[in-house]
Amino acid sequence: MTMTDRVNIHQTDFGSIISSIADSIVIVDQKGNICFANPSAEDFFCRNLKELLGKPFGFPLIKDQTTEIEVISKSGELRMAEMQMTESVLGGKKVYLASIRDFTELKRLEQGLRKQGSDLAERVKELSCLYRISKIIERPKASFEEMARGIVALIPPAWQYPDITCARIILNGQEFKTENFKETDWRQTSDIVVNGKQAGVLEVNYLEERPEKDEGPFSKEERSLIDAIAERLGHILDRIKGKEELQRTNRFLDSIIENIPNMIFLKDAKELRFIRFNRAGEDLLGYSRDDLLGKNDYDLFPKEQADWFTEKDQKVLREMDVIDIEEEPVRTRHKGERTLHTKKVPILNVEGEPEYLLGISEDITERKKLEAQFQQAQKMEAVGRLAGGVAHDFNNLLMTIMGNADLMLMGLAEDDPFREKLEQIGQNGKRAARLTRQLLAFSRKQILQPVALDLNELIKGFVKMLERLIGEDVELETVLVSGLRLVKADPGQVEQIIMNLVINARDAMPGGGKVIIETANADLDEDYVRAHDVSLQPGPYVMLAVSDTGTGMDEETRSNIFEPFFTTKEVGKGTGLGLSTVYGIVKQSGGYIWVYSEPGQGTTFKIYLPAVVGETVQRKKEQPPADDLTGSETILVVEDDDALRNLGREILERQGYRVLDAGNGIEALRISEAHRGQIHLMITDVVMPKMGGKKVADRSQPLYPQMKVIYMSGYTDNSIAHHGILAPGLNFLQKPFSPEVLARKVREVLDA
Amino acid sequence: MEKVVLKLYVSGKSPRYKRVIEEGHRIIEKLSEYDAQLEVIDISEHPEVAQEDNILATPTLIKKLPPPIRSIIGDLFDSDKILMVLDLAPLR
Repeated sequence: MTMTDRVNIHQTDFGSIISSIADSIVIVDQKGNICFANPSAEDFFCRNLKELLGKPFGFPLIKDQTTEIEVISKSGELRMAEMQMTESVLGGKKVYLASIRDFTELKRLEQGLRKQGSDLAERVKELSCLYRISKIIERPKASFEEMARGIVALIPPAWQYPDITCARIILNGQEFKTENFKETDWRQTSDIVVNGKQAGVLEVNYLEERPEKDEGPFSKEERSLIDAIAERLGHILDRIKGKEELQRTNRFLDSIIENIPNMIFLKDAKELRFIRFNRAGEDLLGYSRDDLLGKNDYDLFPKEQADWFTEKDQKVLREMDVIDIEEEPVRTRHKGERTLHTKKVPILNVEGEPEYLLGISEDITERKKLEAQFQQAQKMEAVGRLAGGVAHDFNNLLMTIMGNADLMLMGLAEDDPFREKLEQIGQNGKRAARLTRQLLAFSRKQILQPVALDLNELIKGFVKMLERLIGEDVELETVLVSGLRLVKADPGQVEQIIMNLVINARDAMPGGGKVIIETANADLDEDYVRAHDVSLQPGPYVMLAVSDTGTGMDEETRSNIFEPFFTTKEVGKGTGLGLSTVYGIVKQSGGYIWVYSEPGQGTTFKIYLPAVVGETVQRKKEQPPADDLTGSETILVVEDDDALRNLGREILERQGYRVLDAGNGIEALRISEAHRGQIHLMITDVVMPKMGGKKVADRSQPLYPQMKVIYMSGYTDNSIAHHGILAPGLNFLQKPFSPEVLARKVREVLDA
Repeated sequence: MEKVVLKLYVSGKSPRYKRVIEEGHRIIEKLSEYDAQLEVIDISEHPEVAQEDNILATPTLIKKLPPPIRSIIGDLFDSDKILMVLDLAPLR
């Protein structure tokens, strides 16, 4: 600095300097009154110089002390300043110079900063509270009570004055509170809302009054915080409710899965191991759940089957589509090979990838067996119907052939060379007729004609044929008791029973053995009935037993043998009808049948037929001489088969009868209405188109009340026989029959 | 007993004024041989009093009695010093 630059400052210049500086300057005299103030001081104290001069100001406590002072402005605003008072001498007198710096704005800024800092700390506390609450909520398996206790304890530390803060949750009648909880006047609450409804309340109290803030006893943030916590509590309960709902749904599904009669299993998609199995599955496979879970198909089934299952599983997972496996074999632990109908379903995760494989299997083994049986039955039914239909026509043909052969024989001399030929026709006709009868027996269309019967006689007459039937390896023995009672049965049917049982016995002894046919009288008393079969009628019976020394049967086979279509023979070998026919015949005859068998011990069938008393065996009557078979009565023959009708007419006319004939029922009725004179006998076919024989007879009877009726048929519908048993009192001729049989039957009926 | 009247002017209830007021009471305690009283006036609540009493700033402590009137402006922290400034030495 040079001398020329130096500014000469005069004393008066200080005044203008002091006047222009921003700080307030006040000079205080020895009495403590103001003797000077600059314009800044006028502003700061909101008074003009005149108002300030001479006003008491006061001394500092200590010289040069810096202190803070505050001024209330006219507008009521608090202004803050830093003041320094220094001792000085002015005009030879001691004065105090107060230099005052207004830091209101600065202070405000500083306070703002400090508040922000503390706000930040508060926010951190609040956030950490919410964070810790979320941790509590996430804790697996925590009960609501545990959560509520944990949450209530987190509240005081998050509030501005933790030491005097207490909290309480009241929810569904339960109360969770901090140890220091007390109801006070400084209280903050928030509703806990569950499923849109108020379920409780969260309460935070201060234990003592705290400095008031603008917002009231609690800060804005604290109000937000309590609301946030209450909301969270609501969410927890919503979630728990949802979980309970889910658990309820799961329990419901579980019980369905457990009780559904189909096997249900779940496999993981990665390793195809069973992770779920229901009771039906355990029952079906014969493994317990513990045996199954964690295993795969290869652990449980033969490789071939496991390969099959796995291939299907992979297909489902690959194509992500349901597959339906109509039939698949599975080897079970306790029930052998079973057949399943299985549906396999992929279960996808949220990403749309297969996570599980669901399987639902139905055991269709029984159904398949039934289906096979049903098919067999249908086959039988069809064969039966066919046989019945064929037999009808066939019998008519046979009868015509045989009848004409017989008629021709009648006219031939004893030594006529054609006699032998004609006799052969007759014999072959009979053989064909027997075949037809077998067909009918098989289709159960034959007609039963029960008579009083001596079983011993029947068996004796039958033995030769049976021996041929069973072959050389099997020995037939009969043990027939003398004095056997009679039974009422159709001899053909009893033969059928014996034949079926003997065939059965034979088949049970592929390596040979012995069949024993045994008869005995049996009196079944009340005790026996009670012990065996309550549907049995006590009384006198005849027992017929057929035993073998064959392979015998186990319990399961034994319980099924009388079921129609049950057979242990290979498909195509047995009809499954043999024993069921036996059973049916025995039952039809009012009898009972039991089977005794053990594997390896042979089998015995015992049949009890009710004994008849007061009847004797109907011996065949002595055949009357041939010329006794003539007559002159009028006979109406109704037959739709022309050849047969003509044959009948010829036979009867030869015997001297007057014959009317009709080709169907309508014609027969017309003839009987138009006829003048008596009709003594009607011989009618049973099964005819338009009108059956029974109906024709019933409609003609009123015109000729004395008229007798003979029915003839190759088989029957239900018009004259019920369930194949001929209505008593009916005259019946089983086609085919010979001219002689016809002539005799006619004479018999007319003379009766 | 000689009467001592002290008036203490404050603004608000900040911790600082709490301390100032405590100090004021301490002075009264020291003046047990006087009939001393302290009147605390919050000028934020009673601005008209500041006007009447010609108080320019707080904190200000004024000895009204006995005369002469003496006042201290600024923080109070040393009661002995205060008594000295107020010309109120405790009686021995």
